[in-house]
Amino acid sequence: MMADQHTDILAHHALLLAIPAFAPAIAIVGVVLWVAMRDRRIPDDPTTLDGDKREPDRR
Amino acid sequence: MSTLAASSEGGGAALDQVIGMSIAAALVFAGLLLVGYLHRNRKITWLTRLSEAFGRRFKRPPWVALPLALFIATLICALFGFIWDVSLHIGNGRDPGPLANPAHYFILFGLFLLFVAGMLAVVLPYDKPGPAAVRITRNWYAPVGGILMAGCGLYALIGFPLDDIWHRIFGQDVTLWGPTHLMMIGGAGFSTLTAMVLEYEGRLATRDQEHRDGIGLKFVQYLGFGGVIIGMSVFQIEFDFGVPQFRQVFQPMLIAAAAALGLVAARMMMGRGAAIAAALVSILLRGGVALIVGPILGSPINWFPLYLGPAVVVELLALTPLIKRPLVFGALSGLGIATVGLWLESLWIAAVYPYPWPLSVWRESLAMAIPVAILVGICGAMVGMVFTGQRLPRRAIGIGIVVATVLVIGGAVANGLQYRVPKDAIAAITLTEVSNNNGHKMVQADVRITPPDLISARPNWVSIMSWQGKLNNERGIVIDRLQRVGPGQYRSTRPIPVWGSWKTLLRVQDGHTMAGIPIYLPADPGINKPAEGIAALRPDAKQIFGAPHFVSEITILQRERSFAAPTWLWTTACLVVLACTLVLIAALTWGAGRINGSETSRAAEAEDRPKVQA
Repeated sequence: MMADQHTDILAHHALLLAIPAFAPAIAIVGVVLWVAMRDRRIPDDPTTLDGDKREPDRR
Repeated sequence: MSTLAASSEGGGAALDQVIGMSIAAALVFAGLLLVGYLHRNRKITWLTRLSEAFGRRFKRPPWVALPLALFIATLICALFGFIWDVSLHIGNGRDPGPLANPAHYFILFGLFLLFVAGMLAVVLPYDKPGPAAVRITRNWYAPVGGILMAGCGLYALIGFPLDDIWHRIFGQDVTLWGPTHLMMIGGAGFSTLTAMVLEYEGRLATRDQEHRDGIGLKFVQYLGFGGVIIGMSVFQIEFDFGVPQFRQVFQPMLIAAAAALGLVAARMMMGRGAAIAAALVSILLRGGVALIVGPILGSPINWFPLYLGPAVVVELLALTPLIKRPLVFGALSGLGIATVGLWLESLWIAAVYPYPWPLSVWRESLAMAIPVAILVGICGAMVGMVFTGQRLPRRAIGIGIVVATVLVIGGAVANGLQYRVPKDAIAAITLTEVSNNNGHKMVQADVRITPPDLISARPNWVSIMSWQGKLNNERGIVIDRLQRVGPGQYRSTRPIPVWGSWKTLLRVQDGHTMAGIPIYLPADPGINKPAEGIAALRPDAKQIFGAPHFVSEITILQRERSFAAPTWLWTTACLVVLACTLVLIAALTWGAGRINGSETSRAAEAEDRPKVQA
């Protein structure tokens, strides 16, 4: 009733199902870190509206 | 989560599926990113309006109320999925296919939304959310609790790909205590603390406003601590189902540690009766889930510690002036929990669990539980100090306590993992058929162990366990503690199944001795295993006799596991998981310290230079 032939790839279906959960999570954390690092590279001048305006994207 | 699907086909369809799932992943990513981007740039208002509605309802800032509501819902969902999943694996064995185990969806969604809840708290606030908030950009600050919650979610989710790699290298480990399984359940478990951190930050941010926390909010806080207790109890689940694959000495230690952290912090933050209330909430939640999974869904029954004995110990200690010295209170609570508390808990364990604690378990258990509970109790007290705005001890001391706790737990676990398989010990087993309906063969077992003094008078257990017999056959699990009829002689007390997909084995645990003998293991072509055990080799005989040697239990219980991989690989893999775990604990410690530092320095400066919150 289980697999009738020999199997060497175990658990990959469960990994498949998990891709839409863990991959976006990792990517989003990456984006936030990128945004944070980019902000720190821009000189701390409150008048740089340009940088200011573009930074706050995220998630 | 406890075991994942065994695929039956090779590559073929998988590539399509990988592409499909990757597209789904990209869509999820793009959707979240878009909402976050639009919200941060104030191009949408629905998220703000939604969160403000929750904020008004719960009298907390929007960036606390909405994420916490989502958190509570998702974590209960994950808890249910987790318990159900474990029960399905116990009753049914490994999954026949990817869609065959509905519990996985609850876990996956639960953990994913846990991450989303944390990110929501990070993304929502336009203004700086409290003094401890972490700068992301110059006009975007995130609450510590949100960052930690998202971190816990991420840690748990990373468990999935690591789990897959793990299974490919080492085969499936059909135990909850696979390192990657511990990541998934540990991430969810620790996230309960981060929810309390977020709740506290929200409390700080609204303390100037005129309102009192209503009864609903109080319940949410009790729920939070009940959640912490359950979160810290997830490591015991194998014991709760009566299928522990590790030594019994772990169980008292795990109960004491969970109690020390959750109950001490609850009592400190919420005052008189809070420890008992938190224990009651955890009973309610675990009881509800157990009721749905067992009696309603027909899966194996699971029990849970009550934590009432430990809660009473904490409450009584808190009536003394000790409560004014938090670290001492935490340490003594830990001591009380690990002694009197555990004794009270043992009465409940004896009443309902398949394996009560024999007298012989106490010496080693106490040696493990007392130091662990004292240190965890001190950590619980520090959590309580953070949530009550009391200044933590100096940074070096605080971090030192956390490090010492981790080391002591590590030492206790290392000791718990020590066991021996007796060499040249055999058990002469006689199986006599008692019924056979349509091939559903049930037997009575007589066991004669040689040498007869292998097992002491008070072993942890000598039992025959049958599991994975499918849910419609006695829920797929039969545990029979054998009756001792003479030196080294035991007899079963009920019919034992030896047919179909059941896996039946003799289990012996006595102090450090832990071993088993397969009685009936069906052929399993999926993992290239032939039928094993005396009952499996002669299925038609009315009476079967055999005298096999004891072997290590994991070779029977974790039949799917591959022992071919080299030891260094195993060690490296464990170290990777350990590193991830230490990062998580360090992050929680950092978060608690950060909130406490900003809060206590704010209080100190409050008189002359009140700070303006951005």
